[in-house]
Amino acid sequence: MNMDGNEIKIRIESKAAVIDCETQLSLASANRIYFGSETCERSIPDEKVVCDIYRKTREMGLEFSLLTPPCTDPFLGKIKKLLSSLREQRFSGEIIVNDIGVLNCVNDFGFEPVIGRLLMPVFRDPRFYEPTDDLVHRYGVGFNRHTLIFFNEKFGVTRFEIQPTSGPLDLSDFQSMGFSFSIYSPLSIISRTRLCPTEAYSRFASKSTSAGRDLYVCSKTCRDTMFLLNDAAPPHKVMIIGNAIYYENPLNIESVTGLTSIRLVENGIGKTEILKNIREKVPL
Amino acid sequence: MRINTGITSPKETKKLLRAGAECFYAGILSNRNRSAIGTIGINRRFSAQHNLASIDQARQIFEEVSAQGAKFFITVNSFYDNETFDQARELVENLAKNNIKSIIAADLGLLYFLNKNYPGEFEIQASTMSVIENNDTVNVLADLGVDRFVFPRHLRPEEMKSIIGHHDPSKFEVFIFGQRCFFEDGHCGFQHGSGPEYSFQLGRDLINGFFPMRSLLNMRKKYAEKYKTSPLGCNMLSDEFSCSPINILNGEQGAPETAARMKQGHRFILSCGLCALWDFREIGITSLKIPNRSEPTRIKIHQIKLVAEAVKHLKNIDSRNKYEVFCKDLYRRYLGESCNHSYCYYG
Repeated sequence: MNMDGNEIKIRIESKAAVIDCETQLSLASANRIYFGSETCERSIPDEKVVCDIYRKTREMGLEFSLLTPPCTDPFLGKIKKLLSSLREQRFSGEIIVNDIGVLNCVNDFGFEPVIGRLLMPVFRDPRFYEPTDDLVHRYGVGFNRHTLIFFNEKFGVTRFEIQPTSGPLDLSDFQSMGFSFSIYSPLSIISRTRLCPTEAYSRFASKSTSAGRDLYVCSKTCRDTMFLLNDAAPPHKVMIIGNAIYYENPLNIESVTGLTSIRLVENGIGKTEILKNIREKVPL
Repeated sequence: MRINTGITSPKETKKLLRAGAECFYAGILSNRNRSAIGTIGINRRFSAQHNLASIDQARQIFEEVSAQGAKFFITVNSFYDNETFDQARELVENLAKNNIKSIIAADLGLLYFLNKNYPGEFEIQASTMSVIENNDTVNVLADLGVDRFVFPRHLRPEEMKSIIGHHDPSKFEVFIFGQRCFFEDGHCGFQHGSGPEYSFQLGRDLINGFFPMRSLLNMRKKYAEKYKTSPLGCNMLSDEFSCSPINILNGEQGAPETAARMKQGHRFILSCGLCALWDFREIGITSLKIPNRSEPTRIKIHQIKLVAEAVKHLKNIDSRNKYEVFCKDLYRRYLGESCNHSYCYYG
């Protein structure tokens, strides 16, 4: 609502596309490219790959954002190395952070941090399937004005990224603060684990003798395989990609209120098309 | 090593102290807190049975445990929207008035508020929801006035060591025994209590007239009627569901398998981690937290005694291998089941 009490229509100010590899650059219809890993430290791309994609993105006249995951110390070291290379390249994009420690490093390097969706909790359980359910209206975002002020005062953050809730998303409490918001669609992250389910399956499939042991190691199965959980939470499709659980939760722009504009971050290039074509039910 | 246990009633205080607990934590759920609960409640426990009912009860416990030289923390460890933030703020203001100035917190907005308005007054422990996986995170939280840190359940001892190396080890705490979810607490969006595994809990909460749980029951009923299946639980990686591998490059779908294959037997209840006490002693960790807020008194006592016995024998055993054998035997004696890697927190 504006001061006259009229409903304000939200508009999409810009579109970003999340890509997994360079070949997807041509598939992205957006003015900004997101590249990197937001859930798994073992999937942090090498400096050379990031620098190449960054250069090509800029050559195509597009903006660039680097996605970063929560990290343990050794992988935070890898992030620091990556940031150092980007500084040499005179990097002028955004760094999306999903870990407070990574945020601290990005700030030390003088880059522009954006708070990623893992640090901006919203209620996102696929089981809350009916927008009319009273519960859906009782659950919303898990952040408050003080959280945003903290990120802004301490780290100069002005953009925050979220994913759609299961019901209406009212951000009017934050409208006057002057910050920008991005919303991810159509894949929402439900949960993340360090005990990688993809790795566990890979061990089982290869009849590995280490099946059931130490799931912290990685054989990169997620580069070519994802998993559909059959009948897990109809009508949503629930899938496991790498070490995270996602569900199809496309943004209904009408359900977002309180903001005048958002950046739409389209994810799942390649994957959502596959999901459309697969069978709905697969019996064991 | 100090054992930190959940407490849900002043009546438990003496019994838990006697069992060997030296630190306590509890949530407070007033009637008002029940009506607006944000994303995951004021302290991540919705039920009256898992919480103290008032500040008075908290003060009673605080006085009793302080007299014995033990510590007592109040959990204010959820993430808050603006409405529930006001409730959390009121709670910490009330705690300050009652001179109970030790809390467990996760919300950065709340930490920021406390740092601005009560600088240095509260002893603050960062909750597992803060997902402390690296040294930089500890530094940021310390700047916000956090004094103590609990490591997430999935961090291994060697990863903890690299963080602790930069700080005073006595500021860190680890989980031991009790509940260990497959998913990472601070990054999980599942709404606990709505899956089929929670039927018993649901029944108890309904008796209490606790509104959200009643709504959850309605939701489950409608869901089952519409889709002829029970809603997905946190136990989704189980034999109840199947998973199909899909080749991302060509869209080919593989044969379905039980989703339990993706979890490799990791279990929620009966999780252990006792053998890792040897490693924790080596890296200087002195505080052990049992996640047992939801357990009845007799289970809490059982768990404290088991961990206390494992701690006591650290002194008497001269190698890690022998200690592991001892802990496996202890586990079998206390729980009547053999130790298994799928129960292991840190294996």
